[in-house]
Amino acid sequence: MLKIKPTSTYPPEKGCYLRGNDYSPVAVVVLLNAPYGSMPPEVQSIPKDIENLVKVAIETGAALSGTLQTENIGIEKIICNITANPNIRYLIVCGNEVEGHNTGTAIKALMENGIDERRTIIGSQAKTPYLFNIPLEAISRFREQLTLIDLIGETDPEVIIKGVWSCYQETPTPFREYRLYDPGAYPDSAISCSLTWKVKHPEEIEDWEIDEVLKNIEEPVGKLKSAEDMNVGRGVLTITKRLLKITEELSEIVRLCIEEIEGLEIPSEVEVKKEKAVIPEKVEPAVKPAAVIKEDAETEEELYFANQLRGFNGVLTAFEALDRDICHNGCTLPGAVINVQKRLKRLKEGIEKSSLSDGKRQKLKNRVDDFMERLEALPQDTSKPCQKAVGTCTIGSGCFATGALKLLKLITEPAPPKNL
Amino acid sequence: MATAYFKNQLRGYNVVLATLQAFSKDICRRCIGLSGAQTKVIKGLKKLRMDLDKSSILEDDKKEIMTHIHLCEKIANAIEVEEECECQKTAGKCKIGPGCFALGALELMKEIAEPALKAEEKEVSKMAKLICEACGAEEPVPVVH
Repeated sequence: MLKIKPTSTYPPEKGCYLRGNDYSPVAVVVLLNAPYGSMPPEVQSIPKDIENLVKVAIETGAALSGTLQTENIGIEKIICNITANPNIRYLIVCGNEVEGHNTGTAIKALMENGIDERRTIIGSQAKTPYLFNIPLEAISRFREQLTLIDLIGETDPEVIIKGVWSCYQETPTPFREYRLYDPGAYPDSAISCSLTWKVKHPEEIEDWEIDEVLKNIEEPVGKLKSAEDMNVGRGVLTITKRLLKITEELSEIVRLCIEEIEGLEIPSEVEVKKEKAVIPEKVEPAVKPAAVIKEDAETEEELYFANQLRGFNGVLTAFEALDRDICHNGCTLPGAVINVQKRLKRLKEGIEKSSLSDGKRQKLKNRVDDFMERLEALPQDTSKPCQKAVGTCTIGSGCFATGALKLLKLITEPAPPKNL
Repeated sequence: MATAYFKNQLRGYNVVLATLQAFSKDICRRCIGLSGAQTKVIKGLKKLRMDLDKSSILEDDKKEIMTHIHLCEKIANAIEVEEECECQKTAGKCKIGPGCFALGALELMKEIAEPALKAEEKEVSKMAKLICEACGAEEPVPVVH
């Protein structure tokens, strides 16, 4: 019997499930009937009876067993995890239907009818049965690879045990209306996919922007008058929407390639540029940026001072901005200014004691002096009342001045020289 | 209360923008981190403008806040980031450790904890109610998660 090793990333998506025997032909989904719109199951306690069903399935020999609540992201995660392991040939769906989501019927409808061009599960009664975030190839593989064992409404562990057991028998074994046996792995390689990075990346188009983006696309169409023009317009609209989607998908590919090569997470440049293009007006900066500071520090010691000064520059600029606001009349900004003065003084002493060349020492000291001069212009009278107490600062318990100081904490490398 | 919300947000953006401008004069100018932070600020301001449009605050206040938002948007767009950006840690130029100044500057917005934007919540509930009336569901707010 053919058995295939799952992908190295299997199971690619995290979730509320247990992993069992990778070569087992069956996965179990226990529907998690929680109030509609509640927190995801992984961050709240799962009812004991449902947890028991999940455990029982794994102990009986399932490859994966977990809970499912949502008809979109939840199903997408299952698709990613199952297509990454071609050995899984059966999906048992059990437990009580999820009220509001109708997830059980959604997964059934997916197996029976697939999705339409809008990536909506055909025939699903769920409210939001959209599979936007995974490749079409994975959806079609999922449907070909699996046979669904419909145990929706079933919560008896004994029935689940029998169902799982039947799936890995060598000869066809009757179980309810099914005749189950292990047919071996799906005769094609595993698919490695995961949900896109949209959630993590601010550059992505967000929900609240969709209407505006669509409006911008539709507006030119509204200007077309004749019926013929309208038909052309609709065509253009469809193509534009499709292109938008392709752009998103391409940027995902680019990103994955970069990650693959560099092993690092980098925000998608393509997406960033796309966002920039939305802003029509390009204005001159208020202050012309100086040439990029060249800091080719040769030693750890020199790098330490250079990094610190880099941080102080940001902090000081933030202070200067705050000084133009209500913080000017408060006590926290002066306190923070004095704090930075002390730190800079200590840094200057460190520079003086360092083993750097005279030229480098002088250059660094000059920069410290510049900063000191900028600090002198900022308020240092701590006897003033806190602006929260006066009622002028209404941002809550936070404080911009102390928040700006935290920028220095971002510098964790290299370690300070011994003499500091 | 809503006016305070917008004013506090703009107070935050003022500091963030000044700090990002300062970092744009450093190696961050070539960094995707700064570019991302700039994008996030631009988007945040755009959202603020949309929320302001929908809010029920006095027209005079609205106009004043809108002018401020517009100014911030101009500054945000003027932050100099090079066309070809890459993470300066990857490029071997930024050696401050895992932290990032640009993203750290954005964190300043988290200092603002009050007040919440009530007007927006109202709008969402209204929208959700309309959706529910259409599909016949009983739940007040459909959530995709």
